[in-house]
Amino acid sequence: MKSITNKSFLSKINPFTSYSMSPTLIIVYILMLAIIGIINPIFIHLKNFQAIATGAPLIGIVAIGMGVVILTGNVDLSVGSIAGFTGIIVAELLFLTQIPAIIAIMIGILAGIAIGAINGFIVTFVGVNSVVSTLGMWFALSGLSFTVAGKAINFHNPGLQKLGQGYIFKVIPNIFFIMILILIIMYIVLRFTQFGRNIYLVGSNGPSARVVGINVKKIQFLAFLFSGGFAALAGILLISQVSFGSSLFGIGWEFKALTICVIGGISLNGGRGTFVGLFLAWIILGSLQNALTMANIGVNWRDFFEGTLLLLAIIIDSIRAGRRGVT
Amino acid sequence: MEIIKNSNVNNSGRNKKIHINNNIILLIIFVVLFILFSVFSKGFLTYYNITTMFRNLVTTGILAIGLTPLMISRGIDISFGSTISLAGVVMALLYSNGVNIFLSMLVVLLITAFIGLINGILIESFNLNALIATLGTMSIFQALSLVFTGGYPIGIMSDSFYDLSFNSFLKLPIPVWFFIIILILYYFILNYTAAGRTIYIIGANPLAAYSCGINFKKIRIILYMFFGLMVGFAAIFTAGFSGSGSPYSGTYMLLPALSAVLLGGIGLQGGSGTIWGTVLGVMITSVIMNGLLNAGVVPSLIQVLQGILLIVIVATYEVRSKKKVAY
Repeated sequence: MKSITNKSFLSKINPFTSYSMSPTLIIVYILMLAIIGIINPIFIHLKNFQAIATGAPLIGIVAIGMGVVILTGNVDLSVGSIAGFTGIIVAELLFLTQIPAIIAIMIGILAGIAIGAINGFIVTFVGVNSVVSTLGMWFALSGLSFTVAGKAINFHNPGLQKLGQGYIFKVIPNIFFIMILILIIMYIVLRFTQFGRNIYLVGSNGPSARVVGINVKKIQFLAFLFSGGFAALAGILLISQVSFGSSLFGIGWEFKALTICVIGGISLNGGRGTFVGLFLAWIILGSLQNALTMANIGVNWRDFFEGTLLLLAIIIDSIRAGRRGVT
Repeated sequence: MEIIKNSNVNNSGRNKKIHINNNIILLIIFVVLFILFSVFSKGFLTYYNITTMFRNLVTTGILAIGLTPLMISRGIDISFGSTISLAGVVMALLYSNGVNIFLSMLVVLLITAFIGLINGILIESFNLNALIATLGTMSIFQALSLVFTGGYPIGIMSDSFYDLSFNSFLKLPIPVWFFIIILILYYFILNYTAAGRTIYIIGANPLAAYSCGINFKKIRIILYMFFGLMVGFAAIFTAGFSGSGSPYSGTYMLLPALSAVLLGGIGLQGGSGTIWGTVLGVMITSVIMNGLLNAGVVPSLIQVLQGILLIVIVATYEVRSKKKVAY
């Protein structure tokens, strides 16, 4: 059966000439499995995949939220501090009161959505640059977390613990399942609903979208609600894993989420990229973290490595954008 | 000659009236804040507190003055916080390993200038979004400074180093002299030389500049490098005031310096703003930070206010500029 396009195989996996990053990412992951698997066979073991699926889904959820914002052409740098702050709120609620866990979770997610709404309001209706305003929100929330929670807030809630530490079918961690669920739902929303199409239209060409009748500001505002809500969910899942809340949670998450999004093909110019690429990028980065940890490389060297990856991803994204004639 | 002298345009062809009005407002704000803090806050008007405020003002001021021409030309660099931390750490490491203190300072200046150069080359060659790219380099340098220190500050026990930051020449501390010299230098270059006019043109309309034969990319790269040099000087004084190189010394300098420049009228879109505006912005932010600290506000709460202040400043300028535009 002849191929639909005339592109050669090599041009499809070359990140600079291919339409989507996904083929490249698949090849990279296969290579990674092969190379690291030879150096350290534990890497390919099922237990190791389970370990990755226990630690990494939190940042994946944050990345999904951030991905929606980046698709509309903005950036949300406050997701890390939103996760930490809402985690503290929920931990404090469960520590001080006896309300059911589900209520506390909903309050936490609503808090995240509210903060996202503030972000969205500043960016869309006041018109401030999203990087600068979410930068300010990041520092403000981080300072607020430190002010509110001097030390760790311990709480005891078996229901929440089962959520964070539990497994489905004894093998798949709960949080991995949640992340996959969110991923599938968001993918369907982006691909098959008018709202999803509007997001892509707003991101790729805002003025044209407005001419066609799409309320650009509303779409951009709603995107921030997603990033805030998902960041809050991730923060709550984190505290449910360890049964305490701390102002140190969520630090650095914005960089990791940004790296996942950009490597996954979601262009910083907006309107380009799918969550398939995001998922693949998440797998690659999660496995990379896992491999580096197993190789006993310190956390600071890992952060340095991830920072370099972020820069590299931004450069590749910019080259791809230049090739298709944006900016 | 007569025409230019009597019009609203100054030497560089910019509208004098708007800037004079803006700067007068800033001056009034500064005086009001100073009076408020002196009246309501005990211990604000003491010799010890004023000198502390001056120390803060000098380091923030060097950064803000260095950032001014860069932002006028539509570039930006938010990695300078981590660069200061890295520079302080490297200086402390070099000195504790036997290198002469002045040689260490020179090496650090070369390193920060080189970092500025790298930032500039990366951003201009690949057409990266400067905010996001320097966000990436910020995380890289922060990780690097943590790698070198393991999270702990390294003391610098050097008499000549102490003298540099704490001795006075004709009743003014040496760092203040440095600040004044840099201020006069930048004021002269920006307002009375062709180079300064070129910087304004690049920021106001890069395409027009290109049509005039100005290689704006090359000039911006040079500005990034000079900003790196200023960051090095700020790092030297920061390390001098605290007597150590700490991996967290620069983290909390990002927001004050950025707020100061934005407050002074240098917008994110570049092309306008004066050095006096920046100085007034630095004075206002320093008086706010110092006054609050003196009034007993916890540092983490001050961080919250810093974040909010940044958002308020950018929002105010955004709303103001919207009012002026006629559709």
